[in-house]
Amino acid sequence: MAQIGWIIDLTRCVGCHTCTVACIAENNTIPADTNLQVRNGKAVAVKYRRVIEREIGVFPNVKREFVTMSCHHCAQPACMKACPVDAITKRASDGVVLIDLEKCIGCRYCAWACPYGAPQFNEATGKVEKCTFCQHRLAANLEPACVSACLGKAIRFGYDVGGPGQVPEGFADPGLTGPSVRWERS
Amino acid sequence: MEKKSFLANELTRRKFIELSATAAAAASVAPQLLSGSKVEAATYGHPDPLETTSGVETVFSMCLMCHSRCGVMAKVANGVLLKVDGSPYHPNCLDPEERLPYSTPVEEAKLHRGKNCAKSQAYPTLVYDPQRVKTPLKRVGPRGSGQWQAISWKQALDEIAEHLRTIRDVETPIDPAFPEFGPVANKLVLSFGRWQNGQKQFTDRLFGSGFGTVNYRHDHTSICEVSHHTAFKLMTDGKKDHFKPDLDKAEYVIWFGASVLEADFPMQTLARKVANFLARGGKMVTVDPRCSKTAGKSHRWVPIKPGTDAAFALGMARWIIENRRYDENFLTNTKADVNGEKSYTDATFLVRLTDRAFARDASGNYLVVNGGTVYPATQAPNFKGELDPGTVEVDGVPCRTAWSLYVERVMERTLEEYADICGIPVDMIVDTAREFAAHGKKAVANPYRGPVKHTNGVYNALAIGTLNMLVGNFDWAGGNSGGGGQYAFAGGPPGTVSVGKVVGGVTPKGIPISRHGKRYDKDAPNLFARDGFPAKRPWTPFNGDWFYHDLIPSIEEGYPYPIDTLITYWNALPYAAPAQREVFERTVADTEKIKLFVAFDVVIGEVSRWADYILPDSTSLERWGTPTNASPAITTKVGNFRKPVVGSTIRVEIAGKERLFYVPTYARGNVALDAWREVGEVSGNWPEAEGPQLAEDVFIALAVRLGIPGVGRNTFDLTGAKEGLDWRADLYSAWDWYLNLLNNISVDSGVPPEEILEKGGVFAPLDTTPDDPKAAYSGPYLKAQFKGLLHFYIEKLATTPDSMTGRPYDPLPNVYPVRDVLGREVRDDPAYPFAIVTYKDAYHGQARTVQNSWLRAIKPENLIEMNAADAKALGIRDGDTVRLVAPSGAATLGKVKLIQGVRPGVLAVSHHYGHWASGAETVKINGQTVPGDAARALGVQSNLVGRLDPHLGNVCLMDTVGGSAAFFDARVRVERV
Repeated sequence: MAQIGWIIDLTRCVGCHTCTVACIAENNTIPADTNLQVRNGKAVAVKYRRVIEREIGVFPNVKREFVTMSCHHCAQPACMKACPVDAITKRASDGVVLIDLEKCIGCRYCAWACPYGAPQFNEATGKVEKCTFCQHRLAANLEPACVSACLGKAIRFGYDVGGPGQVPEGFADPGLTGPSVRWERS
Repeated sequence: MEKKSFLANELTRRKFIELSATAAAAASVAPQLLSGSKVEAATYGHPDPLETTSGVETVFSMCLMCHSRCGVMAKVANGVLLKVDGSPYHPNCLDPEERLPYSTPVEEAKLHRGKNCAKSQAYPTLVYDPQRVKTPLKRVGPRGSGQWQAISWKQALDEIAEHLRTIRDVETPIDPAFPEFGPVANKLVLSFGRWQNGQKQFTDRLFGSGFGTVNYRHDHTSICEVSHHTAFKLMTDGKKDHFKPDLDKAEYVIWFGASVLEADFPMQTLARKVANFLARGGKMVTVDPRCSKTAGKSHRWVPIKPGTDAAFALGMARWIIENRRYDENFLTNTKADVNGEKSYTDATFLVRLTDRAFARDASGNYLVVNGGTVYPATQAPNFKGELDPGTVEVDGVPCRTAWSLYVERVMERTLEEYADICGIPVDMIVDTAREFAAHGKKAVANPYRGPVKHTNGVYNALAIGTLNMLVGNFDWAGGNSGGGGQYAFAGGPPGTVSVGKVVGGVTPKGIPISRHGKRYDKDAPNLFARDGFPAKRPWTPFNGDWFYHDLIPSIEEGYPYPIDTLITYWNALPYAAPAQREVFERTVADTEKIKLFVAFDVVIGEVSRWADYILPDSTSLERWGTPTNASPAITTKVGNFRKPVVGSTIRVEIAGKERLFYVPTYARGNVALDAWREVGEVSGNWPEAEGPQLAEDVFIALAVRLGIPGVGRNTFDLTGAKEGLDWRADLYSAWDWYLNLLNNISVDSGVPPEEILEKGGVFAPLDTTPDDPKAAYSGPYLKAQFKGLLHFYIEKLATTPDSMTGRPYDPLPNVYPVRDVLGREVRDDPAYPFAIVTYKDAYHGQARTVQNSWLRAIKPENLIEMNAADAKALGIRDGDTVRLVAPSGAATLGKVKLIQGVRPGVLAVSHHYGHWASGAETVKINGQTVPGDAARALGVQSNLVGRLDPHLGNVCLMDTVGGSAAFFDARVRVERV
């Protein structure tokens, strides 16, 4: 099996969050025709891909880094191990990790187990969802929505990408789950 | 009228997806919707159907979530907008080597997504915003009371027309003592927040030449970037208002208050090109009080004191001049296209020290010195002049070169003094100057809003502009680009139709109340004779873009004359302009100062909540348009064409031609068609117009009622129009207008109209072969060249009196403090120690994107960003709520975020949040409570604590040369709550 994975170029990520919104739009994780629910300053909304923004250094020597993250479709998915009802599977053909929403009981063990915050609890359905690598698009030989939308061309994907490369600071120990991602700084 | 139509959603996106998935599964017509195993089906929930799915359409159009004019490709099924991606044809959306050849069929193109930004991706949340206004509303309580009645289009337009008829008088002067004010018709004032090319010409034509008001278009540029435009127009004798670095080939770029990873335009294109530039090893410096995303990715962040950019730039200039790192060959050229250069400067031109005008010969040629002899610039030996021949007498008048005057100005301050003014170490100025000069033609210094939204905005922009002249980067690959230009949508070239001309129309006369582009002492002689200097309010003779922030304050003061009716469109003045809310609200509440107030809007907004009538607008993907005029970052030619991606049409024959009338989402019928039916030009039993309508069609319906020229039969002069195209002599619907514009682009580009319409515009071929006649490059040069004169010395400034001081303006770049309209320094009060700078998030527009729930899902509220050291000194912790208080007493609350990336003494606030309307407000319609969405009010809008001009008192500080509102000269104190 060739494992599908992300190739993320941290030099090219400009922090525009287009990937996040392209993913919401493609996967309809937030309804377009209802008001956004906000609780304690946070959106009650499912986002499969997010961009972490951070500041590095002390004034006046400051840099900013942006890290786009979604499910890493790990070699040893912590979510899969944590699921009490075997709703999470790893697809044999390309290693995409998927949640069966019919089996999911919404216990959120997977969300707690994942070191990357990939599984997202959907309050409306009471189930947990996450990035599917846009497998509906892959099946038609089309790119995932985040890849085609990425302004800086920071998100690419491939098979057996040979990660993790230059992991961003604070990224969980890749030894834990074997994330299918290679980080680059071009 | 269906009473519930304001609230009721019709076919919604979510329902569509659920229905279609169910239907597809049952009928197996679209297996992609639910393919694969049960596990996968359950996992991926409700993704969009694929672009290849039967019944799914791909529509090529143009985005308007910001003004970048990016092509889009919309996915639509069953008339519902599902997703918006970038157009693979459009040069904004893909790099030259990736962009599809224009000849690619749309069926293939739809499989290749181009880039668009998060805002554009969020379009469905604009179209299907649950807070949208879906019917005309009439105020039933006092203005601003939030009490409305839903009325029909017929009632709304009949009542508005009845009032407008009382001021439609193009003969009687407003005031016989002041003929310069023009006729009574000028009492109708239209103000557009965002109204693009194609739309502008439509209303200029209808309200200027049809109604006869000179106040036909008070649009928004004075709160946007206008001083930047003014400065570049002054530098180029009006020929160019904007340059951008050619990022594809540049090596070194200094962004002055330009955060191209977040804003500017086209943001998505510049962001992609910057990513390429960085990956290629390009070096970037960002001058900004805030460590913007651009600064944070730059090799050097220059955390300058707000508004002191000229000091940094002139400090750089001083080092470059003292070390002779300027391009002497470029600067000594006396005309275009000589000695290996395309453009040239006035460096060697002689300036008369008496009247401060350029010395000229009898034919008007500039004069230069070569070998001790004075020559006309165009006849100097080798087209060379001397930079500093000393004082030279011409016709008995002592003269010096523009260069020597510029150098004298630059040398007025030492590097240490410049460093002290801008708060940046000398070393950083010198390092930046050395590197900039070392990269020569491939180095660019680019200003955007940061340096220009200050009272000294034009002088900051001029100082930055001259850096580019020192290295001579204009027209070079990797240098300063003037852009590839646009096709002539409004006419001009042979075979096109000049659509602005109204057969039988009138010429609007008099001074617009904005007074922009007008010279007080000459254009208003009677007013000048009465008031003298200073004028009651400033006049901006060099500003070509109206005077938006001073519109309402001028109306309040009745200066230069009182108005009657205000019509606004997509306008957010009290939110979007600094220190405007109070003056706006007290002026529009006054039914004497504004007798009739009509607002077009998609939601009940900060402006429209005060109107007498709200007319529901279609969204920007529910209309046609020709948003041409690409950013200079695009080096190839474009002819953008927008078309509706959803909605339907009614086709009717009138006057021998099929007329197309557009019906937007949530609408029935068409308001222009109803108007023609009512006057008997057409008959039919289509439903009466309901719901949001195209603004152009509403204006047509109004014009029919008023009986003004500009609509109906034979309103266009088709003389000389190229044969074989479906030109329209008549104007019955918006489509008649846009069809003529489409034909014009077709004539100018040679591409059939059908193809332009299908592909969302026409874009010049790719730069794949060097001999391509439309290539981006020509050897070491850009193919699209400015090839013109650039000024160090601005003669017009030296010879025109300032309407407030009576003295001529300063003709050279200079360092100025914050000044009021009388030119007096506005000193900082130590009790208000913090400056505020605002910025745009990459995923928001200005006021408008509060409607997009997918964007607010990224960050539901904004915060007041404060340097952690400042916060510590004040005992403020991260997340604390504070009150910002302006010297005027205006105050606003917000939560604090402590950061390192802002200069101490400066607060940074993004300019999108803290709304009080735009769907946030609970209102009553027909006596029923319609709840607002309180989440849209989260966050803070720092414009509320903007700084008032101390002399005028009812308007923000401003740049009276460039015409800008001073966004970044606010000073506040921070109180813990």
